[in-house]
Amino acid sequence: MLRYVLKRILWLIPVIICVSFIVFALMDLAPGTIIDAMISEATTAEDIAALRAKYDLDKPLIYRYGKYMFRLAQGDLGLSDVSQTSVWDKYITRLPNTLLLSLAALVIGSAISIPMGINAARHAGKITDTATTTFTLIGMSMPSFWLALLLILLFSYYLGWVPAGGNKGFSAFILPAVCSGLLLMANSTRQTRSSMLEVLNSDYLRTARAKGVPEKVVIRKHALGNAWIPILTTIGSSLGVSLAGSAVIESVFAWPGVGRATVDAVLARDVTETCGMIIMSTIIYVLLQLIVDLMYAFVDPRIRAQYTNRKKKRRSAV
Amino acid sequence: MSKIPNASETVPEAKQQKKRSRFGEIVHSIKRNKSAVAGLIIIALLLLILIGSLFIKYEAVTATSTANRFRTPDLEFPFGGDNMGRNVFLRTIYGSRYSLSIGFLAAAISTVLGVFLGSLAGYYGGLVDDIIMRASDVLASIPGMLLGMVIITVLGQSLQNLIIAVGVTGVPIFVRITRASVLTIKNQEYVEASRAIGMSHLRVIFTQVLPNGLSPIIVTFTSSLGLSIIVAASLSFLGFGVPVPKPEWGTLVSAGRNYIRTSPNLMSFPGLFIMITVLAFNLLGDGLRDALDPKLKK
Repeated sequence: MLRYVLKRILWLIPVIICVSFIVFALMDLAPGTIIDAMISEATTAEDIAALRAKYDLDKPLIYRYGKYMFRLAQGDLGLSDVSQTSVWDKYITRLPNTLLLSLAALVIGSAISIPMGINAARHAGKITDTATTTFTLIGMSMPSFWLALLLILLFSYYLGWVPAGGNKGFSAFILPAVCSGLLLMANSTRQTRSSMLEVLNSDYLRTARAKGVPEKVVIRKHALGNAWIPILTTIGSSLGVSLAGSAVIESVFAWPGVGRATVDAVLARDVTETCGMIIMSTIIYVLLQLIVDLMYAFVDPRIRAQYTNRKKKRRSAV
Repeated sequence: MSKIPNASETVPEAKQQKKRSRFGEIVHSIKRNKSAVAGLIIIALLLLILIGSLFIKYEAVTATSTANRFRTPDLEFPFGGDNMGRNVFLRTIYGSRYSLSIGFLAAAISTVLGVFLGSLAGYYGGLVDDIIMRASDVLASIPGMLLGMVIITVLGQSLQNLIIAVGVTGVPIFVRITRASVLTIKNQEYVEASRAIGMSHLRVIFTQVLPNGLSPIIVTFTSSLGLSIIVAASLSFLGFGVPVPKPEWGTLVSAGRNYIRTSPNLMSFPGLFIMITVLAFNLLGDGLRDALDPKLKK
């Protein structure tokens, strides 16, 4: 198991190299450079040359990338091209906000979606099921920014219960959290329903019922136990997206998270900052996938057995 | 078939169903699926709207007038007038071409690239498989919206670049699904037989393997239509989309957002159109999944 985790973490290295190269090269190739904003009518040709030299613009792309990677290898994300402040500091001050939002979405979303999905699957074809399916389909079809704006319109402007955005206090946190939670809920309710449907008609459930296991335990242990994996995958990938900084929701609610910082960096053509933000988001995203994969082993004894069997095999080989 | 007239009358019901071609069977199960029919009806309506919008002149949707600024919805301006007095109804109708073409073309780009790479990876295996899958993993590990923003920044803001950006971010899903599908088929006897009679590898892939593994690809294509529209609208909303004053739906919502307090109609109607369009594709996708998934067949 440890070997597997280490292998997956080492896999991050080539990913980071590729991702940083893709993003760095793309941003570098984008029309316009960082010094364009510093040049005015009065700037002399020598000044421009000096500026170009300062930002290594007179050297080839591969030189700038190499320099960037050399620093990155030492764990330094560099200084923002625009504000000359540390990219890492900016990321680390924004991260807690994004984490908070993602966790709230996770809690709200799964607390509603899992019971709702199970309920729909148990009453498949009935009115509860149709209502749930319709509800989730609409939720999935809703662009997040539009849902966010509708929530603002209703709860902030018409009812006046909560502020429309910002990060002042708990009340400002409610709407973005509910909005991200609803989006996560739509996907995971659907997945819970369909993976429960797959196991509900299985023989082992009939056996469990026949031997007198109470219905609650049948659903919770026997059915859900076998339906977890697709549900986890869906919740995990939704969470991954919002941890990488849900740029849209953070922008609509003026929430100072990682996603909005990335959008701002891209809009400002800040190569170093964009690169740093995207690399960090990618690391979080990949690590989360790893955690989800490890949770498979936690919820499914068959997968857990695979890990231990491998260990046994190795031992017997030695 | 025409050689045996009235054959169907004498065949019992069960056998008759077997006689349907694969395509006929799919059409049949879609027809029985309420959500797929609902989806198809909405898509047909949207196509009608699209055809109708071809008669609207571009000047009519960009014409500004001070008299109609923030005009409240009425018969002539059913969705009201925006901050420059433009007719939001006409703009929304006209905008259907952007969202629909983005949806179809972006999903087509992801499908073509993803299916091509995925089938190579699945069919050849080994080093080819490793290279393609690792590259696809790298692409998939960059959060989609961020990648889309960066691609548009490089290429510049335009409709076609938005399509490319959204299309590229969708490639990894298709690579994985096609590969999985090809893997289950490539060892079947008829594939071996085609090789034995001297077909080239590429011909085997495209005439023997892929046509038999199309179902999951079709289902993914349908759901990626809706997803592409959402991603594209989100990019437009953030300011990375079709440049103003072209009335793309995401851009319309974004513009209406500033007047949400005074004229909520400006952002509600275009948003509603996005939702209904995506909903239609999702309904159709669900119906297709039921129709094509052999596990769900009764």
